[in-house]
Amino acid sequence: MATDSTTAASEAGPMISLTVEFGGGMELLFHHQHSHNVQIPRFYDPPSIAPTSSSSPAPPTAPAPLQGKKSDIRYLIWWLREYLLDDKNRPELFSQGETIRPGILILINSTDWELEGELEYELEEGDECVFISTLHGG
Amino acid sequence: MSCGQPAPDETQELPAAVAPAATCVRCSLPPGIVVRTTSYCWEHFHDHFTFAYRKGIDGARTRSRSGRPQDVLNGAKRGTKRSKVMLAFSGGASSRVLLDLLQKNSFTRPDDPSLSNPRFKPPPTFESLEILYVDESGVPGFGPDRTEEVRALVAETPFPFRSIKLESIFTPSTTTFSTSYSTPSLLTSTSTSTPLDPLTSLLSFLSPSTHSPTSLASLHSSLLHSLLRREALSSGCEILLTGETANRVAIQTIAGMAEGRGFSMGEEVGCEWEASEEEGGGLLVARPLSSILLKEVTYYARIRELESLTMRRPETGVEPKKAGIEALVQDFVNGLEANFPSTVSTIIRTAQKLGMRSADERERKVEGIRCPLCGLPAQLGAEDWRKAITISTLSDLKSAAPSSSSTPSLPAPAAAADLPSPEAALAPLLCYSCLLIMQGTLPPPRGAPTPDEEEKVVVLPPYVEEMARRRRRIAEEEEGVVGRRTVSGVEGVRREVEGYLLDE
Ligand SMILES: [Zn+2]
Ligand SMILES: [Zn+2]
Repeated sequence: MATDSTTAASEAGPMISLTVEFGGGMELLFHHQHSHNVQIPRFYDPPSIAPTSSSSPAPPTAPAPLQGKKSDIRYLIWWLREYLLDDKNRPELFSQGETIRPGILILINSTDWELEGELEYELEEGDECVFISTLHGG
Repeated sequence: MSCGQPAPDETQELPAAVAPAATCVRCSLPPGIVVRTTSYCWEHFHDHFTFAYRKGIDGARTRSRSGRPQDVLNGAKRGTKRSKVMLAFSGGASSRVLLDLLQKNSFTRPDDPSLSNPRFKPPPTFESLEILYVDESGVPGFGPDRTEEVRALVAETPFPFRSIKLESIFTPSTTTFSTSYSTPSLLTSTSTSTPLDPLTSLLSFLSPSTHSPTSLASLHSSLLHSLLRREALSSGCEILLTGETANRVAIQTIAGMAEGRGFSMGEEVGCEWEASEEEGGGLLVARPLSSILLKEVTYYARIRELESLTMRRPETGVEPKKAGIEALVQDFVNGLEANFPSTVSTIIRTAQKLGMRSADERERKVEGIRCPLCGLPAQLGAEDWRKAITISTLSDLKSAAPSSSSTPSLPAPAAAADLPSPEAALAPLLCYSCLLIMQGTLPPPRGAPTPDEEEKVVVLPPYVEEMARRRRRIAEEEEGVVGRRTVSGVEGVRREVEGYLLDE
């Protein structure tokens, strides 16, 4: 097995790219598209995504911070809701508070997110995050 | 607290989640999934999952080997003969996973290269398997026909595929069986005319002003399951398999209680039940996934790369406000499960302790009383019970009498008028839940036309007539033994509930 623990010598730009996949009906909320390649900031400022934050979110084109908290699943859920979700008036179909709507399974690189620290999992360049709704399975 | 559990400390937050184990419970590999609180690597998850399936299919397997209850009694089934099985296939993840499990565990093909010892070929658990897809596009809100998509999902499997439209529950029929729901006793009649679109007529009779979305979902499910049972029997299958998971069963348990389905709960949540309605029939309905969580099914489908369709049911769908009890309960159960991973299994284990009416009947060797609409065990007297617990308006009772009297005190002949022929009344035969559906659960809107201004008739599938006739025959046979049940009629009920009547 090839071990590749250190990512290539600091190719560390301000953004990281991820593969986000939706299934089980989640894709209907995100442009009816199963797979998305997204670029999100490597760091974020936690208060900026707090539900009490009065300031409207910065546009996704705003310059990404060069330091702060490493982007985690908590941030990704917020980011997907703010920037990728089709119907901004129905966030409850995707998330509940800062976490995911119950009944949606998250796999990070094919592993149950419960094994990866759930919201605290810090995202790495190239991670694959799968959101599958179990709510419509018949 | 009555449940015997220590009262939770009010100030305490939800129990801090214990981090799941960082290695598989059975080996030292890194795990891929947590089930309840146990971590598994893929291989050991697969073992655990297959074991749960084997437990779930065991009743059907035994049935396949030993035959129908009547075969067991007279030893008719020979050693190698196995039962034919029908799989109710919706195209969703659960039924797709069930099909995969069946193929891999219950049908061993001689040319299967994955057999560890190719010389040992155990006979398949079942004689054959037929995949049946019910096209529900005829139901308003269900969207287009997806039969071809579903057919493509199973094209790789060795099993024959067949699709049937939900509408065909109305055929073959030479006459039209209908009931007038402006009469509280749901008088029925049979005519020779054929309506153009009986399914839409039946489902649209449930209007939002008099019925909840739950009623629509429930009636729809009665039609679907009646059709599945009929098709299984007519194809010579002795076993019907459906793909309900533990989550679905838990949700059905709670929603079913709310809908007045308590009596037949055992049949609706059990792993399997004997649905045979006729002496010669004999159909076992089994749910092999009923102890498996949707999370497990979803993970298995993902890793095994099993394609499935996204179900877009109007009643569990994307519009929370329009959603019925099931969708509300689903959110409730899933919300609990997120914090208390044993919610679903606790609900199921509790419900399964209720036992089954059909099993009681077999033990007592009596023929079961089945509701003609949903086909599940029914309790006698649901109609009287409902009358007794419902607040009726005086005008309801008045309008029940065709000769509407102008005097405010009810005329005694109303009792007789309500039941011109008890043979024609459907209400006394229905289970409580179906009675609620057919009589409507919401009060009529203000200013709505009174029932006698407009005749309200809905066409019912022929199987309802067939089962109603059968029920009456059983009742007649029993008459000599237990005596005729007193039908009190409107007047008797009116006297009983006089104190509660509201004058308008
Ligand atoms: Zn293992
Ligand atoms: Zn019923």
